[in-house]
Amino acid sequence: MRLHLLRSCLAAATLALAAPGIQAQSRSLDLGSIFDTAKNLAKSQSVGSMSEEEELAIGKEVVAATLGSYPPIRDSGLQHRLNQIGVWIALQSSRPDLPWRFAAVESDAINAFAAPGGTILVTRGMLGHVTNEAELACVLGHEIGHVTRRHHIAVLQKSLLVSAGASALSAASKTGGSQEYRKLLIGESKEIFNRRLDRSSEREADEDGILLAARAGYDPAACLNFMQRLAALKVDTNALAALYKTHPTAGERVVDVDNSLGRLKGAAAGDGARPELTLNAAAAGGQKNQAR
Amino acid sequence: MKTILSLLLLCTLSPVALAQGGGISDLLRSVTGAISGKESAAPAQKGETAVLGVRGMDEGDAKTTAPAAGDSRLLESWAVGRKEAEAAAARRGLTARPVTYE
Repeated sequence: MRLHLLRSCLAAATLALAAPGIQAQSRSLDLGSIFDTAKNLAKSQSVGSMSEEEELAIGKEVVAATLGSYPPIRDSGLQHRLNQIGVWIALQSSRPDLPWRFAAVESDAINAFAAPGGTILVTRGMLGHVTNEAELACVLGHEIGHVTRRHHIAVLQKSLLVSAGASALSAASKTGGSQEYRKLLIGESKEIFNRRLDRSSEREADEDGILLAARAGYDPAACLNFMQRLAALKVDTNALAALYKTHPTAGERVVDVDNSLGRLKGAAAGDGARPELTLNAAAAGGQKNQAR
Repeated sequence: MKTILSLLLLCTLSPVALAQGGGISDLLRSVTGAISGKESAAPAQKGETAVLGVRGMDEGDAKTTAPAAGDSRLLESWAVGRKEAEAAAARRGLTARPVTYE
């Protein structure tokens, strides 16, 4: 009797949790299977099964929204030069044919962003922090790694599953199947939030940064120098606040980067170029106000 | 018995109120899993407002951001192709090399 009451109550409560528009469709759902359905669907619609076209559509929404907060620096010469460097590094990755786009954006924070589909944004603060092109290559390589491994698509799918998306996914699975699910993914991407990728994703991206920089002919040890200098900065510096919300501390990453350098085959620390950085973000400062 | 009555009371709440109450939603999800004997979806961790492709944005900016289609077009105008990138790298003395991890 008790169990029956509980089941009835939970059935009603579960229906109440569903979005109003899908309640009518959900009334016949088997309570015990509602979350399994969502989980299985998410599993079947895995990161690998999403087409490149869909990934690009999500990325486009993300980039447009991000540029609303972080406008690009209005300096065509700087942006063009950044793209030459970025594309060269991306060509060494597992997805060289993506439409790679790079842009320096207005923000004094030391940070860089990656959007699904191959757009990488680097802040003015970051350009001021790197001391040569090899260090910039490590930063760009890290972000390229997030894109090639589709880390953010995975986070998006997971997030949809664990939030209200669970009930929406269940309804979608009954009505429209994968098409509806994908529409949900793209729709959800319009909302930009902060989200920490897990530790392993950041470690993978750091490894990719070193690897891609080395493949592109840069000295991979520049990645360690960059991280060591980052670690030496005060943690409570405003410019680092956002970075440390979403990444492990630089101190932890110094250890990981050092270990990765030791595992490189085909290039060693100290072996490679460290060209002078020709992107003068400070000189572009005169146009900062114009960009806003 | 008190527990059953409490749950019945929750059942009478409006869908909107339930949907907005994260705590209640999480509780019900947990209980649902327990009753069905199967693992339920884990609730999002506190402080992680879920999703997406851009990390490290200031949260305030992220919530008030508005799409900038014009700036997206600017990005396209700065795009560089493979040949140009390779030529620029060659001018700086950079050569691609096969590197892997052991």
